[in-house]
Amino acid sequence: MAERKGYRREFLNWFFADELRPPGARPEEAFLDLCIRCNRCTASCPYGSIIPADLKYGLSFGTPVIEPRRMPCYLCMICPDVCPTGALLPLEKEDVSMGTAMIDESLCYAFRGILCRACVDACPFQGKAISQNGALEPVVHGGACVGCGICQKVCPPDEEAIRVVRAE
Amino acid sequence: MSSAPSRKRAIRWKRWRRASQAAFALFFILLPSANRLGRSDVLGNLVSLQVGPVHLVDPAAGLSSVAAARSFDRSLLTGMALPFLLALLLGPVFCSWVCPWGFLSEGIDTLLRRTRIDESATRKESLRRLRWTVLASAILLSAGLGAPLAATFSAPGAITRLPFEAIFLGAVSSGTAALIGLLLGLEIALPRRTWCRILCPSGSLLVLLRTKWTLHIRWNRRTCVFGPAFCARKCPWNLDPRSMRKYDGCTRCGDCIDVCPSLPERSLRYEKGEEQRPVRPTA
Repeated sequence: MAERKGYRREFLNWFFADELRPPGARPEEAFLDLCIRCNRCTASCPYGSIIPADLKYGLSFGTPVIEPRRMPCYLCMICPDVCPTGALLPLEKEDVSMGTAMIDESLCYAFRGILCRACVDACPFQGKAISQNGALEPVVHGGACVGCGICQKVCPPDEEAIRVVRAE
Repeated sequence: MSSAPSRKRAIRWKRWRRASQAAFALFFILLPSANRLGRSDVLGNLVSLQVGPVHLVDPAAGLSSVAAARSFDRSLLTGMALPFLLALLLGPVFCSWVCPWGFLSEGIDTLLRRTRIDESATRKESLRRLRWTVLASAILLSAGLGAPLAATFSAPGAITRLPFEAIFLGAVSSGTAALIGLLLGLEIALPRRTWCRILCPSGSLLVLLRTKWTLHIRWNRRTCVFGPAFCARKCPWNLDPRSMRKYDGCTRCGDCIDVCPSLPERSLRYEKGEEQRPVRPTA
């Protein structure tokens, strides 16, 4: 399905935009087909995590995105239930796949010998999605990480060392 | 005591219509405030609204989403059902009694002192064709581009997103601001009500949902004074209520009824039930 519609993507996004979609979002192409910009997910989010995409998304402006550094997703799983078009589908929080956290070792305090476990402590799937290795450095386990972005929010450096990369 | 025929009890539809438009506009200002305070039983905007268990989707937006995805989502269809039925029953009353963009558009007309557009019958006909072309292209392009264009460029959606973003999020997104700017520009640059009359996919689709039992304006030629045609001059949609056809785009606003001078009763009224055969005015 994604292949059939692949040609449309470049037109829809004038610039490459990779902010995260709310939990339960269908793959990007199918999501863009369905989302009618009704703001229901945005209004239902108790944390104010979901905001409308701006013009850098081209024709996809107004669709919901999450910028973790601003406000991550706390996986309350309310928004998929209010979607009128099925662009977001209800699911368990363990099954969410908004993206996967990636660590930039050149920025991460732990990799530079400073004791820091902010991301490990904040992770809602502590131990499963992220853990510390023998050198006390954080390690993300791709399969269990849902991409909620809480780690990205709490990462102490000005430029975050851990960043969620959207699932494609 | 005078026995001159009078019509003191005649309803002034415009007052009720303005009250309705104002109430809906106010609703979409209060809604984000309530959402912000944690109320989440009413959610959304005029593209799709959830009121407790009742779930509404703009039929044009829903249809273009279906066209883009080439699949049917059950909740989408149930959401479109109620607006669909309402339009079948009452006609496109949404445009003149509910839509805040229509309200704004009428306000701009008043501000710019726009009253009548002089259009020949053939021009009216070609504009009507343009309207269906725009609606069909919006749906077909949605399928081609993979974006629900009738939702993306929905004027009722944009004008209800604006207070939502301003109040709930504290900032208006660049997309919404640009869309409102574009719509305002068109509203001012083009002839009166061009967006509502020709370009709006939501309105065009509602106009098409018409059976012979749909509420309509009935003209009674026996009581008509055939005078200065206040009704046709007052029509915000540039129609002549004395010679209307099914898909003319009448939104049942009732402005023509209010100005009808016939006594003892107006020769225009709302009517349900089977439609009269179209009669051409002789004057």
